Amino acid sequence: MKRTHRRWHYRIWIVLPFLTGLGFMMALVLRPSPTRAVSSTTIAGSP
Amino acid sequence: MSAGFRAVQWNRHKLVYDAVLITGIVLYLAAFLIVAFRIFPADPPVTWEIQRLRAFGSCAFIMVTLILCIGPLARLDRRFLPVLYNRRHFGVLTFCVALIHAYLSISWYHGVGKIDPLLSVLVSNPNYLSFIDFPFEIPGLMALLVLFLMAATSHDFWLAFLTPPVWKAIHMSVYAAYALLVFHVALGVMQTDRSVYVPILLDTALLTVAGLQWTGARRERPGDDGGLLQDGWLPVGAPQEIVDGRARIVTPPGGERIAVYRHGGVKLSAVANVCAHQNGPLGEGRIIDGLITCPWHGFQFRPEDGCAPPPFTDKIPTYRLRLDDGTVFVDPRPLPPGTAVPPLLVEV
Repeated sequence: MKRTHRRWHYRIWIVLPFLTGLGFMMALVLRPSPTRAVSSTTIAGSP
Repeated sequence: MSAGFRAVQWNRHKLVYDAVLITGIVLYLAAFLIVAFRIFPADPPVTWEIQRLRAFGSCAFIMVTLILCIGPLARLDRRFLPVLYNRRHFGVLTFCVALIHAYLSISWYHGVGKIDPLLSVLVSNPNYLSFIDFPFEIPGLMALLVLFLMAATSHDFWLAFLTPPVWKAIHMSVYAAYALLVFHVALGVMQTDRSVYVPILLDTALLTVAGLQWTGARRERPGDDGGLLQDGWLPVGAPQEIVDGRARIVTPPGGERIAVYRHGGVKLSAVANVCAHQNGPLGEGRIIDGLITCPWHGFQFRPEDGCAPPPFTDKIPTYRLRLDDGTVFVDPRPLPPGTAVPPLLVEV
């Protein structure tokens, strides 16, 4: 790997897990209760 | 290499690698469906179509996770190098599995409406400003596009056409794709499936990949600090400290790493540590048949002039060496790729 690639690699892997981990924790904490859990996937055009 | 176009340069290693991969995928899918229907059937029951798309989706996620672990594992332990060798086939297969997951999902959830299924994915859930209700299909679709871009440009033709730095930069987008996939799963299946297994598995995967990548990157950092120059030359060490057929890697201040190889027992030659193919670490390879052999994909270069053997035309920069009071020194100024430099003869 080139020096520039190594440097970017190091920076990316400091920032990326932090942001992704934060999003994961938010998705976990904000989960709706089982009775409210509805997938965002709906059949288009259905009533 | 650069001699001519061939769709895939098959060899026994690649065939075995691909056979193992495909067998692993088939076994995983079968195991997932057996567990889902026979061992732990869902209550209320989940249809075959949904379990099928979940099997492909989870398989693709696991495959991307494994791909991202291969690079740092190979840096931390040389025994993983054979897995790195054919990583591109792993990536293309991952795209195929992810594409099947996307096709099954879109045709099942969006295929029977009045509007185009792909358009339906984009408009059926308009909560784009919400975090938890965000249409989780979108990050999945974006990750699929990244995987497509990588699979489509995975051939060496594109590597040569785009040049290794550009190609490498494009393929680093797999990191963004992984983050998108984590959001895809966290905002999708994790919201509807109440079992603890999904968050645990997702978190474990994320921590494993991030931990390995960070450890691998951190191990590389000290090597970039650069040694101190003496009269403009960089000390390498005593000749006998370099094992025959192997290299010592040194770094000039602010420059690229240099691989100083000992070959033929008494000869020393210095070349750039960056392979002309995919920027692999040449100094971590070894001499095979008198040629420097890259540990990543086996590309070869002559130690004396940095040229690949005929009919190949790849070249890497070379460096001048001198011996002074039992210590080998390298001139940190790279010579043009392919420049012949007589090997430094030493007594060991």
